[in-house]
Amino acid sequence: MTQTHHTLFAANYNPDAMQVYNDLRVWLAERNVAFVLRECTSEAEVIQQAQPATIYLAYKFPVTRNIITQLPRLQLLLSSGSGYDHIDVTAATEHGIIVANAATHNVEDVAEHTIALIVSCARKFGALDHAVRQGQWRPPAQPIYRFRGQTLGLVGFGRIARTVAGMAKGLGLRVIAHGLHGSNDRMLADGVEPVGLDTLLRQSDFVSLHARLTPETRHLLGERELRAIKPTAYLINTSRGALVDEAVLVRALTERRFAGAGLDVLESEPPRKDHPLFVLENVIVTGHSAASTVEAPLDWQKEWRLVLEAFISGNPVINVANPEVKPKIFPGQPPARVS
Amino acid sequence: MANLHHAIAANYDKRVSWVYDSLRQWLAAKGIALTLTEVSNIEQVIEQARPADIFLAYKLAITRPVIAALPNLRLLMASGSGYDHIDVNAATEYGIAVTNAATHNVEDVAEHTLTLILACGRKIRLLERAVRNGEWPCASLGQPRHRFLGKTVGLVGFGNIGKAVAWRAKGIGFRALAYDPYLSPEAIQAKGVESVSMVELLQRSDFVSLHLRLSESTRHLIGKAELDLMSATAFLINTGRGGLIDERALVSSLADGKIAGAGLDVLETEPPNPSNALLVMDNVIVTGHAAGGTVESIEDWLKEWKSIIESYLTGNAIMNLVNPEVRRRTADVPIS
Repeated sequence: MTQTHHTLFAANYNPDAMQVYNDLRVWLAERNVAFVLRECTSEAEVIQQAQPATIYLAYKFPVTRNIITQLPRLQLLLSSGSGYDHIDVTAATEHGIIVANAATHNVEDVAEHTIALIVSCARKFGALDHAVRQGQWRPPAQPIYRFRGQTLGLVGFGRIARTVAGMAKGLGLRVIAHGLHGSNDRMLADGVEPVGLDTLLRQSDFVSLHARLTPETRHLLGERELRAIKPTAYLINTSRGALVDEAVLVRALTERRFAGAGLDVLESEPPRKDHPLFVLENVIVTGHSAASTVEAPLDWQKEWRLVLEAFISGNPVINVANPEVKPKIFPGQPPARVS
Repeated sequence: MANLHHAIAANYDKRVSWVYDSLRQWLAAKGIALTLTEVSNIEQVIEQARPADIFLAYKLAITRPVIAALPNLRLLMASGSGYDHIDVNAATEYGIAVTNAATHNVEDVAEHTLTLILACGRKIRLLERAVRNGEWPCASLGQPRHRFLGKTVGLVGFGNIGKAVAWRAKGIGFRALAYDPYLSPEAIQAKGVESVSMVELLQRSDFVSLHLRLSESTRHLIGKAELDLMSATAFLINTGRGGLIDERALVSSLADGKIAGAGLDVLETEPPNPSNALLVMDNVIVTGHAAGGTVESIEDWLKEWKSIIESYLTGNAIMNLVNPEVRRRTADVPIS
């Protein structure tokens, strides 16, 4: 076993995943990589604790430009999940730091959760189950529409959206999509019709968001966009809450401008206890649980290890979020590369 | 010329009264009167239905005494797809064709079944309640929540609806098993579904879903012994008929954590007794007999009734006949 210079620093972690971190510690030890896990509550604390780090495993706590600038040894910033909106990727790129993520471990789970929200909304499960428990059998007819032939509009067409599209077609839905990164060829290959965002909003019976949160996509759906959604349609979000202007969304749902929403994420998490969405019966909120199946952490762990293994052994790093980065070079160490 | 035909619809679902109005107009154009009536006992039914040769039966039990007392009756239509409220044997003996609306809501029920499977599997109700009660994040709630890909849906009964559920479940990534004593294993395998025994289905399935008719032989098909065979992480789904399940056994099984939960569109007694223990359980979703009632299915339902009546009036083979062995009453029995 060759000696490595590496230290992995993890600031905070998901308490439900403690076993995953313990297993990682053992796995890293076998590869002579030091492991530092700290609960940090301030940037100053992170900067102090992470000084030796060459690898930073980032769970939730924002990795700001200030932090990045003050960690001279840092080479790899690994987002613990698939989102990396808590990492300043631009600053990392400027400083020659590779940003990677666990991009695929929960694709299936999030896609499944998305479909579960779509059909639960469409069948008005919240209202039906509630009415039955209040003593109403065969609740008054509400318009419930057959799935077959209805239109699902996917905003974004990455891995999760493509998996959702496949499942939705199995239910007989027509699928259209608006890609944010020129993904029209992939759509056509998957039998999905590429459309502009306005067309998507006007035609869809279900609008489902599958985009990363970036400065450009923040409030992608605001007043104008939410007004374009059909009165009988549902908005589904299993990506990031801030893709939607939540104040406008609350107004739209309260005024029943469209039929309802299935949301796994909110703009501010955890939300305030008296969040106005929580009293609406046409809204299902599932508390950022889309990815957390029994099976996901196993795949998650596998994926971290693939990224780390590549980096430690000097092979091209996979799942890189900033492929344009020019990685830092350290004397006596093979240069890191991106695939 | 006086029209020989007369139709009666005894009781109906008020939420869809437009369907009956539309049927009435369609029959009127053929010179056939439709009596739409609310009755509450056998005597009233017999009195009102005496002139009718066509009887559209919604819910009300059409028993042997009713059938025996209606000499003109020739076409007895169950208004929906279930006909457990009709004594089919008696009808057959009296030479009366019994039909149902078998296909109008097949895909709607299949879609609802799949929705119950997905909502149960993801513990959507539990998560939603937790969020409203101030919990966040919910990653650790309702565990174990399993990935659907590769999990098993077991279909008890592999008729039109069972097949439609299998098709959709496979589209999500489930494996499908089926038990159906009326079909050969080859007929099941031809749909890409594994044919298994009832015991094997109960043992292997992550979701057990019921798609068969209620009859004396299927009443309480799922009782304590069957529930005990299911795995502790499995769900029971029912969009068929409540009486297929021994509800007391189900309540114990759910309360003792012997199965993970249930998704029920139907109950043994409907509307349920307010003290029904299922209505206060957190691992149960109850949707109030709503599976078949989409906007589209109601339109298709009316079309299906009309086709059946048309086939009867024109003297062709009667569509959707559930007692094909019937020797139909002939003209020597007077109509009106």
